[in-house]
Amino acid sequence: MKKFLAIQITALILISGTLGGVLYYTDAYQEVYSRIVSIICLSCIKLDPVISLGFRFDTANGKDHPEFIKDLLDKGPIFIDFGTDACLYCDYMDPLIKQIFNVSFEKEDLFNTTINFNGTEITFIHINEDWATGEYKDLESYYDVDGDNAVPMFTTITLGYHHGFINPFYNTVYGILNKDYSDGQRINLLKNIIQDSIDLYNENRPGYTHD
Amino acid sequence: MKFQIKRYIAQLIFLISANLGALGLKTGFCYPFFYCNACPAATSGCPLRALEVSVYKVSEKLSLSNLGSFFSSLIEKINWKLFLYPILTLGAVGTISGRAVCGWVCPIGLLQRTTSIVPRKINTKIPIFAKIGKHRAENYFRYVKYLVLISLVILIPFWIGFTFTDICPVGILTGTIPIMALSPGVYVPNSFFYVALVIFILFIALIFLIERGWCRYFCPVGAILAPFNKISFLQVSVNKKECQSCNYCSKVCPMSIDVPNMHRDPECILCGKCVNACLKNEIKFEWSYK
Repeated sequence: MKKFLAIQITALILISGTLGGVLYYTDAYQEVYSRIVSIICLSCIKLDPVISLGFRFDTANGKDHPEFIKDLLDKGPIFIDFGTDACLYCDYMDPLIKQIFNVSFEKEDLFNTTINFNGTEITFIHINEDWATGEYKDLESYYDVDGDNAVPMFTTITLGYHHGFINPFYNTVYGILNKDYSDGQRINLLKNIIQDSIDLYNENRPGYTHD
Repeated sequence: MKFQIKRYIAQLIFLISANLGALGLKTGFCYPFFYCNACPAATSGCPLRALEVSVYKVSEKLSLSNLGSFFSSLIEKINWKLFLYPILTLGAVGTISGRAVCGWVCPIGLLQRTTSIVPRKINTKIPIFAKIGKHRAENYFRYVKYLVLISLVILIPFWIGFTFTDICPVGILTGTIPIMALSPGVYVPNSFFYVALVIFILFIALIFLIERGWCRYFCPVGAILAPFNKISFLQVSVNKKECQSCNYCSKVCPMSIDVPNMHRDPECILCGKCVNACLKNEIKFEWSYK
């Protein structure tokens, strides 16, 4: 009887002690919150967002666009590829993104680079939400128009005319864009968005200044 | 107040507390029961999703040059904190109260409790269902939930990617349906939707045909909790010396356990129906160390 009680108490101390250690010494709590609870899990709901091709001015979180994005817009349009480590559709879309931009990267890479797209210089940014730091960390909250933290998320930022001013103008699409599309159609859709952003940029760049 | 009404109240309280996300309360805890974090009102994370994320496609990152580097890369690439967190959460709860969580806390348990009148009537009117339920093979079928846990929640995500959460019927019930109702036109079905829908229909059929069918055969969370019945402080104990073998306790048991011969049965969800049913009061809840 005493032996069994000792086993029970040992098990409880070991398990609850380890659980306490995991919660206290690691960021498991934060990771469950940020990677599971606070995002809408598209695979859990077995749904994909309907794409919206519209560009917009107001950021998703209502704040002004980040300064470093405004700085980058001086050079040309920006394309941001948001993903996470565990993301089925990121694995699907990453090869297409690499093909469109002729870039190579690993899933966990966080970088921005200037690339040539049909003769125009654009900034390509790859962000893995699980590893993002500094100014990249909160970037998704500015451009996640559906507010679901769904990934992959592709944001194209350019310039547009808005009530007499030239302001950052962006478009966000998610996932595999459309489940009925072929890979070729997905590539074309993204290329069309980027080409639209280049056309808008060239049209509006002369009027763009920022503090 | 009657004991089973108290259990209903407990289940309703936990159902509400699992959905406080509707009031903006989102936490980084894992549910110690089966519930979906994709529910718009969810407060915490699904333990199975955390397990899947922790091993997601680890096989692709393993070094296969030699056995030593294989194991070191295996240890390095699994997200251990995310792997251990849900298991330890369930383990802590299980060590104290075993599978009482299934009987007293789990919202899917509450759902099955409310549907249980149907399989009971079916069993009375169509004896073949009762016979199937008592078939010797039925006991072996209960091991399926362990296979589901190991294969769909751990091994396949380890090699291929998310599996269980892609086809989870509870995801359809608590995630897909509310989200489609709340945000019409924003989402369209993905490639797993129709497979999951078929599984969801089978899930509904199962719980209407077999009492606690999901808990008995398929629930991976139940599979994690079940072994803890063997060492839990709280248990249902039967005084076998005084038992008159009327077997009334077994008849009311929603998990179809042979209660008079039960000792720390992994299938027992500590619902207390047998405790209430025993005419001699020889079945009791015990904080025990036997």
